[in-house]
Amino acid sequence: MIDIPERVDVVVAGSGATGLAAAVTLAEGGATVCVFEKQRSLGGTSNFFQGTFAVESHLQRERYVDYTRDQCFKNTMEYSHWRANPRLVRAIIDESADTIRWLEERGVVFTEATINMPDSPLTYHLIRGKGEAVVKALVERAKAVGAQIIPSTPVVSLLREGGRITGALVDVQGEEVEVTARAVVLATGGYANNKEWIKKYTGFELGVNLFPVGNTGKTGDGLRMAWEVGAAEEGVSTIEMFRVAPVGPEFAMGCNLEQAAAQPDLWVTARGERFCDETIGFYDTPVGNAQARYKADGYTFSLLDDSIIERLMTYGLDKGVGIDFPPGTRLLELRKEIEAALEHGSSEVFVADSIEELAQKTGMYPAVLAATVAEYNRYCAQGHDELFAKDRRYLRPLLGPRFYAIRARAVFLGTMGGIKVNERLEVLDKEDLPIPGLYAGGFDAGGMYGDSYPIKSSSGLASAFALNSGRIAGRSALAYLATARGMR
Amino acid sequence: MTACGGAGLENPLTLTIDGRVVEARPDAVVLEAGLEAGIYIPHLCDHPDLPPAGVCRLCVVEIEGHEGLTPSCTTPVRAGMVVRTRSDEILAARRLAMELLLAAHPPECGSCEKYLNCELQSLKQYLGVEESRVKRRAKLLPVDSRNPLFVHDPNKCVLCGRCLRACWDLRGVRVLGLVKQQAQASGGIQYEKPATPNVLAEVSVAPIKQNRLVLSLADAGCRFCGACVEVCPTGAMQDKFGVLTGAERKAAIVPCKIKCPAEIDVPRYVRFVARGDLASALAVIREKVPFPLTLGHVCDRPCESACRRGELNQAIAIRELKRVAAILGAEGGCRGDLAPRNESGKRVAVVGAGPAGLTAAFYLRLQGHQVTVFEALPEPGGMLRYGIPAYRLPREVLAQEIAALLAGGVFLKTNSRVESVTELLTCGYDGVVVAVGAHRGQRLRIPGATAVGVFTGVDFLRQVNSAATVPIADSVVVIGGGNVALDCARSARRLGASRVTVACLECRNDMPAAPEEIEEGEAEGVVLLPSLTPTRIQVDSGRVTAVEFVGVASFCFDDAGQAQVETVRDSARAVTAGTVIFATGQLPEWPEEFGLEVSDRGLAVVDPHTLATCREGVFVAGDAVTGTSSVIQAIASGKRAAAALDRHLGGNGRLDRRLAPVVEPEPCLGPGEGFHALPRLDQDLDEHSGASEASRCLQCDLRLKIKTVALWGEY
Repeated sequence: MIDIPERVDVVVAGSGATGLAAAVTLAEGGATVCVFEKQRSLGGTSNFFQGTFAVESHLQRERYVDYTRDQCFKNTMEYSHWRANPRLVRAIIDESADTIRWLEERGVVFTEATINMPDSPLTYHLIRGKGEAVVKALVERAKAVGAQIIPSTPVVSLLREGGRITGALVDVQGEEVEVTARAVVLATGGYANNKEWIKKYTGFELGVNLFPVGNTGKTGDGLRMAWEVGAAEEGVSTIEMFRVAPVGPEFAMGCNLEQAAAQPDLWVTARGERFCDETIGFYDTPVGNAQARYKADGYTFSLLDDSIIERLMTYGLDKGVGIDFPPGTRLLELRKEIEAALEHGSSEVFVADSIEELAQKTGMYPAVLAATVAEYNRYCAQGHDELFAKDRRYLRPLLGPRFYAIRARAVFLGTMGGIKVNERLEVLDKEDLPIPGLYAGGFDAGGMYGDSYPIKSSSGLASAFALNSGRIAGRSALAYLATARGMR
Repeated sequence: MTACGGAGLENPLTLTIDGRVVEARPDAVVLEAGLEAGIYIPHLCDHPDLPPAGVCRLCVVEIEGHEGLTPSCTTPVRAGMVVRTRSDEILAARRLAMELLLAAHPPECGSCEKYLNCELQSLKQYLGVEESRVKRRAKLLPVDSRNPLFVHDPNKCVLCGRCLRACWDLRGVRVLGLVKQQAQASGGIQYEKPATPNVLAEVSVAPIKQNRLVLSLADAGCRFCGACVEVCPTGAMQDKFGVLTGAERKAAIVPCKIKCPAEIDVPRYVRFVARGDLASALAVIREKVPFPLTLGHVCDRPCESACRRGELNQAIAIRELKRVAAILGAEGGCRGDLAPRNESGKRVAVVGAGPAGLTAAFYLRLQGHQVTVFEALPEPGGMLRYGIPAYRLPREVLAQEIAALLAGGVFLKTNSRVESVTELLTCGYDGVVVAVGAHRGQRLRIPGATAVGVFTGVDFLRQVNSAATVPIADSVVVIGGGNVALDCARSARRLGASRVTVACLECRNDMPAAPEEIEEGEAEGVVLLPSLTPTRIQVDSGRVTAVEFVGVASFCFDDAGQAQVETVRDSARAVTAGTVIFATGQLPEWPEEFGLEVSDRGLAVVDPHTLATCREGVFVAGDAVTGTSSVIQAIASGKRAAAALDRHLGGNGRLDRRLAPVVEPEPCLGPGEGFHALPRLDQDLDEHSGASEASRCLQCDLRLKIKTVALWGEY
C-alpha cells in the first residue's frame, strides 16, 4: 500500500540528481517534500555518471589545477556562440565548487579531479561508486531530513489556480490522485525515449539512426506539463551526442567491440567514404555531429584489420571509453567478441579476406571503399592526412590480411532542454515572467547549451547541471515558500 | 510495502531486529519478518511467491547465538531471537556476494531495457559495489529471440534460480533447467536444481527436456505462462513487448481483457469453460454485459486479435466459447437479479432500442430508475434486427435475449419515433439516453447514384430483414469492403441474384470485413473485386445498367473522413449491374428539431468521457456518437452512458455486478507437452470440445497474481 500524501509544500517530479538535490535542499530548509519517481528503481540516468564537473573546487586547488570560473564561463559561452543563457551558465559554474563540498558533506566521496580526453581542463570529479553512490547518498539524506520518496508513481499533470501552481496529479497504479502543493520542481529527465518528439525536434528516428543509452521511459513528461501551463520553450532540440557504437542486446556498454569502434583508425560512411578526422572521437559530441550528416543511411562503419586488432590487444587503446578504460587498456576479449558475434550471425560485425569482399558483405560500394583505403594508406605512408589533417600519430594503415567492419550507430545520452528557465531555475512563461511556484532543472530545462554539448571545455557538465540546477531550484522554491507562506 | 503488518496476526511471536521489537508470523523466516516490519534486508534469489533457495547470500544477517552470518531467507523466526541486519561484516559479505553475481553479468546497464525496473541494478545501487575484486568474464552467449513472446538473454542471467522455481515449484511445468553451454558449442548439457552462485561464466538457464538441452521453449513443453519472465530480477528474461509499467503493463500482459470495449474478464470465463462450469462462465460475461448469446454470434472479437496465443499458433476461439457458455450455461436459469433492489423514483427515457439503447435501459432499470424505451421501428433490436441478417444472428436468439433484458421492468414503445429531446424532458423524464444509431446510408457522389435500382446498404438490409419483397436484379454490385457490404452481398445471393460482386477501395488483405464473412461469401458465390473505385453508374432509361470503376493504386482518408484515392492509369472497367448497393458508411438520422448539437460530420457532440451533451441530463450512446461501429462498442457505449446518467440522477454509477463465484485460479499448470501446437477448435463446440479449446488459454492473467518485489527505495 503506497501512502500518497494529500498535501506537501513541494512536489518533485523525478528522483535523478536534479530532483534529489532539490529535495534535499528543500527538506533541509524545512519544507515538506515528496519526490515522485516513475520507475521502480530510483535515480534515473544519474546512476550512470562516473564523475561530475566543477571549477575552483578544493580537489582542483589541491592538485594545482588553475582553470578558473571566468575561463570556463568564457569557453562555454564561446562554444555555444552565445546561444546559451549567460546568467544561467554563470550561476551553474559559480555554484559548482560548492556542490562538490555539499555532496561530500552528505556522504559522497570524490577520488580525483581529472579528465578523459586530451588538451582539456581537469574538470571531471570522479565519484567512488559512480552516480549510483550519489543517488544512494541523496536518497538517504532526503529521507533522513523527512522527505518522502515514492517510486513507480509518475507525476502526470500540474494543477494551477489563479496563475500559481497549486499541486500535481500523480498516477497511482492507473488512478489519478491529487497532491496539493505550493510549488513543483520538474526533474523528469527530458524526452530521450519519445520517438515522436525525437523526430519532431531533432530530425532523428529513434531506434533507426539514433539510440539512447542510460535512458528509460523518458517521454518528456516534465516538458509537456510545463508547456501545458504556459511555459516557454528553450533548447528543446539539443541532444547529448555520445560516441558511435554497435547496437543490440549482445553488445553491452563498454564491451571490447564498442571500444574498438571508438578508436581513431579508419571510419567510413555506408558507401565507403571517409567522413571525418577520426580523432574527433576523443571528444564524443562531435562524432555524433559528424555522423549526423549521414543519418539517412542510419550508420557508419569503423574499420579494423589484423594489425589494428593486434595493436589493441597488446599496446592497448588510444581513446579511453569512460574512466574505467584509460588509454593503454588492452582489449583482451576483442577477438573472442568478434568470433562470438560472427558465430551468432550478428548484423553489426563483418570480417573479410579482402577490401572488396568487405564492401560486398557490408553493402559499401567496392570501388569507393577500395579508393578510400588506398588513399588512407597513402596518407599513412607519407605521414600527412591531406584530407582531414588527422594527427600523424594516429595514421596507421590497413594492410590485412583480414579486414573487419563494425557497424557504428549514433548513441546519445539524453535530451538537453525544453523548458525555458532563468538563472534561479524558475520556469518562464511566454512573456519571460516566472510562473509562480514552478521550477525545472536537469535535462528538462533549457538554456545551458547552444546546439551541442561543450564537453571539451567543461567535461561532466550534464550531471553538474542536474545537481546544481536542482540545488538552485530548491533554494528558489524555499525563498518562494517564505514569501507565499501567508497566502496558504 | 508488504500488506500483512504486525496487527491482526494469529499467535504472533516477537523477536528483535536492529534493536526493534517486531511481531512475526510463527511460520515466517527472518527475511519476511524484517521486510514485513518495514526493515529492508537486501535479497535477490528470494521471492515471496517461491520457495526459498538461500543461494545469493545477499540477505545474510547476524543472529545472536549463531556463529558467523546466516541467510535470513531460510532461517525460521524464533521467539526472542535477536537479529542484526547491519554491520561492517554483513556489508562486506553482501558486497562480496554481489561481486560474484556481477562477475559474469554485463558491466553497464546503459543499453539494457530492464534498467530501472531491474532488481539487480537496484541492489548494486544499494550496496555500493564500486570495484570488483572478482575477475569479470563476459559470457558471449547468443541472445535467443526466436520465441514469439519472450526474449532470453543468458548473458544477463545471475543464476538466482527464480525462473527455475517459478517453472518447477509454482507452475509445475518443469521445462527450464540449468545448462552448461559454451559460446561456440551447443553440447555438454547438465541439469541440476538451482545451484550455488559460484558463477561459471558459461552456465545459464535454458529449456530442457529429459535432461537434454532443447532448442526452443515450445519443444520443451513450455506453457508460455510468463512466470519466469515475471520473477526474473534482471534482464535475462524479458517480454517481447518490452518492459512496461503501470496500466500499460497490465494491458500488455492481459490484452484480451483490455481490448474488449466492455472489459469482459476473458481469462476468467475461459477458465470456467475449461473447468466445465459453463454457468459460472456465463455469469462472468453477464457481470459486464447483457446480450451474451448475441455477442457469441456476431461480436467482432477484438479480444481474439489481441490474444497472445495468436503469436504462438492460433488465438483462443473466445467468441465461440462465449456462445457455448451462453447456450449451455443458461440451462437452469441465469444467476443474478434482473430487477432492481430499490426504486429511485426517477423516470428516464431511452431513444432507440438497438444494442446501445437496450443496454442503457437494462442498467438504468437495475439502478432503480423507471425506464421507457422509444423505438421508431416496429421491432426492437436496432441494427441487430434490421441490419445484421438472420443467417448470422438467428431471430429467436435476439428475441429471447431482448425479452430477458426487458423482463426486469423496462417499458418498450415500438413504432414511436421521438422527434425532440425537449419534448421528452418536458414530459417529466429526469434523464435521457439517445441511442438512435446510424440508419442513414451514404451514397458516393458519382453520376447515377440516385437512379432507380440503387440502394444504400442500410435501406436494403432493412427491407430484407423486414421480410418485405425486395426488388432485386439478377446482377448486383455492392460497393464497400466492410461487414455491411458482405451482409448485403450474401443477402442478395439468398434473394436469388445470380451474379453478385463486391467492389472496394481496399486490397483484399486490408478489407475491413471479417475474414470468415469474406470466405463464406465467396463460398456462396460472391465475387470480390478489390482495389477499385467507382466513377459512375451507367443508367439507361432511368434504370441502372452497369458500374464503371478505375483501379486504385493507394488511398487514404483525410481529416474530414473523405477518401483520397490515387488511381491506376488506363484501368477503367465496367461491371454489369441491375442493382447497385452502396455499403459505404452510415450516419445518424436526426429529426429536424431534435435539440442536440451535431458535428459537421453529422455525429452527436458529446464529452468523450461521460457522453454528456450540452443539455443537462441528456447523454448519447452508440453509433450516433461514433458512426458505424461494432455491437460490443455499442453495448459498452450504452453502459457508459447509463453509468453517467445514473450518477447524474444521484446513483453511484456502479453497474458491474458480482455474479460468478470468486475462485482463486490454480497457480500450478502442470507439464505442457505438445501444448504449444494444440490446434484451435472453433466449429460446433460443445461442453467437452469447449473445455478443450479453453484449456489452450495461456492464462496470461496468472502473472498479475505474482507479487512484485519492493526495492530498497520503497522502505
